[in-house]
Amino acid sequence: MTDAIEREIRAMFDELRAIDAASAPAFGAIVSQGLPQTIPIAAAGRGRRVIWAAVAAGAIIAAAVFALRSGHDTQPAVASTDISQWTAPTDILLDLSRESIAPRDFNTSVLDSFKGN
Amino acid sequence: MNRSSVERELERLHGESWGWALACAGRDRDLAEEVLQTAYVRILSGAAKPSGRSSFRTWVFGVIRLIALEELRKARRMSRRIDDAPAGFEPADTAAAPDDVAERSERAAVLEAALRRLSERQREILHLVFYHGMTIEEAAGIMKIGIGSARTHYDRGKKALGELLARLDV
Repeated sequence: MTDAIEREIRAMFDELRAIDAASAPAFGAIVSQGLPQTIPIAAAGRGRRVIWAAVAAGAIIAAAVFALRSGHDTQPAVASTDISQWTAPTDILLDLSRESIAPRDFNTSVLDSFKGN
Repeated sequence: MNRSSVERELERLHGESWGWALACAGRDRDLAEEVLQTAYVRILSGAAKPSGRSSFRTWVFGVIRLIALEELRKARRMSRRIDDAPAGFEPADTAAAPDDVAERSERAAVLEAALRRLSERQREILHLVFYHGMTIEEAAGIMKIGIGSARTHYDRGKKALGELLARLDV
């Protein structure tokens, strides 16, 4: 290859390079299209601090509400009774001081005496 | 290198990277933009890391070349599916529009046409040496071939290009 042809090849490549450089897209445009948007680190830090403060405030409020409710509990769950006064509904059947436990006529009932018979 | 210094270096190389992306993308501007964007994302996100054995420029050019090869393979697979498509489906015309050609100088257009007649390796090495001013050793590193092979492609490519241009009487 002669020097003249090599010089010509170089000149043509130089021309092609100049044309390409003139039509190149902006670097920032290429990068911003490809990368996701990210918030600056300082702003991200502030955001995290706000979130933690809100969580802490919520926890304090919840604890205060719980404390208030347990201190003002005046409604008894169940009415209190003296157990010594309690009688069973079938207690009458055990009252042996007045009734005999001897076998009775099958045609009668132990309940007959309570019916005014 | 931290991210901001990588970004500065990429910006400094942007003009050259664009020219190389265009060459790797067969002068398809849209594809070249996509290739360059993907390359920048991979480099800035750390997905592509330099081995430390080559210069920053050589490494960036290598990343661009690999991504362009991936994209061209995808385009070829898509093109084969389109060829198999039922009659009536018209594939997109990827050739440069007449307005684009008119905007470039006639000599640059002749050079592009002549380069397309060369083999891929010859086209690549001539572009790296003549367009980007690289040595054959640097070009071999980007193309992932031995220096001997690179020199062979360079010599044969330069001879073939000279003959084509002489035939076109440029």
